[in-house]
Amino acid sequence: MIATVTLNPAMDKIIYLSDLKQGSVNRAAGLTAMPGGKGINVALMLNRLGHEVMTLGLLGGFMGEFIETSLVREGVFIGFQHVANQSRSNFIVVDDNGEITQVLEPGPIVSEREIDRFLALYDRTISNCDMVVIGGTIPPGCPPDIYKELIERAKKKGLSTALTAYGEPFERGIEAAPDIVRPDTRFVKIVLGQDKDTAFGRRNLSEKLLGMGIKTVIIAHNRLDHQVQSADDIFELKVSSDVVVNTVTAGDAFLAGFIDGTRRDLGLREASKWAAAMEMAASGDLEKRWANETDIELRLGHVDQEEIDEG
Amino acid sequence: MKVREVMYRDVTSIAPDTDLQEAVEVMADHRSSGLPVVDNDFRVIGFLSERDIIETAYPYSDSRGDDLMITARLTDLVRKLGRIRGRTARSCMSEPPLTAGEEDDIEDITSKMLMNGLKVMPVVRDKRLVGVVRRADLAATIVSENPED
Repeated sequence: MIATVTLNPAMDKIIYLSDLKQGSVNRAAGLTAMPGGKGINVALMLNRLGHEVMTLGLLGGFMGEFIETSLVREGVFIGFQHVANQSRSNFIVVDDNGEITQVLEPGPIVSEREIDRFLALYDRTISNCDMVVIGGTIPPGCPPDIYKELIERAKKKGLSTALTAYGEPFERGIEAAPDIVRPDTRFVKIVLGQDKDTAFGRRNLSEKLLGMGIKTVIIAHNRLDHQVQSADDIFELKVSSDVVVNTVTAGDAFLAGFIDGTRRDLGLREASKWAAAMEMAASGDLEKRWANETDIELRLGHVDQEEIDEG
Repeated sequence: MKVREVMYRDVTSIAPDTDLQEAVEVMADHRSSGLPVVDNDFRVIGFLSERDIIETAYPYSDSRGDDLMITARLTDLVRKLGRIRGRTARSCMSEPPLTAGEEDDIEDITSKMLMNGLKVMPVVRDKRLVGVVRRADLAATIVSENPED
């Protein structure tokens, strides 16, 4: 079983408007609500692809109830530490022109006691799993080295680990050398002092991460493109897609697709291609109707794998 | 119909050394009348119910049948009850616990739960927790299986 950790899950609300006007009353034409957060997205996608997945994390209030119920309805196993404060909502406003505006809440303030209880729950629960995927932001009150702690605990039990995040939780998390790392580069250009928008910067970044003991480094750039590097291979994946409405969960789809591909015993290159096709499917769908195997196979032809000059 | 079709895939659990105050808080948080107790390998080694806690607090009472009060109110009660202070889940959990397998028939499990007065029963795979069967889910299943004409 695969465990995913989402410490700051959300109710993602997609609000459809004809035209978003600042400073005035905007009446929505429609609304869709769904559970969100990187770990949850990855869990739902892997579940759709037939894997048994357990989602762990912190949540509270009626937003938390909505998230739990939605996950159970999908057949995902849940193990959440409930917290006193309300889990967050994310607002994604889409207008008739396809323009997307997002408002992301910071999340509930969590206490040290709630975190300690979660860690105890995490320790017990992951004994039933062989992999842990950790991702997303952390809520206020959570120590910035929490991902490092979670990765270390998982590794002690012999589990493989993957991390997708940004900022200090990411930088502290990689100190524990997870097996797979995909920096969340949506909000940042510079990661660990390297410019992810240049080939030189990406190469330096992944070399740096591999030097820390990480086995596979996946770096996103230019919307849906990726550089993938392991100890003995490096290549670039380019996706040709005309319909990109959701870059928010596209990255989570790449990671889920990569894990799925690896578990199908595809090699690094084929698993990465599979992941890119899955990302492509997710990027065309705002409402998270996750891709299945056929959706991925249909898009494999749109993924180009390119060599990177070893020099 | 099989247990896997009606089980609630919540693996919330407590460790045997969890103190009762904390156990009651977890029950209240999860609105559950009982929690599986698991070891370090996630194997279910016991089950702690509201009733176990009440019987520990009132050792001479005859609290057969359904539980005496709702879990949320227990939180306040527990603070006042010296008898359970310092006690752990292990000291008053039911062991060995009654458990269900995912492939068990729900009719068998329903009668097992009724006979033993259980509201919640852990579901295990290779002795490890994968969820729970709740009486409420069974009732909902019975209703949906027998709709009015």
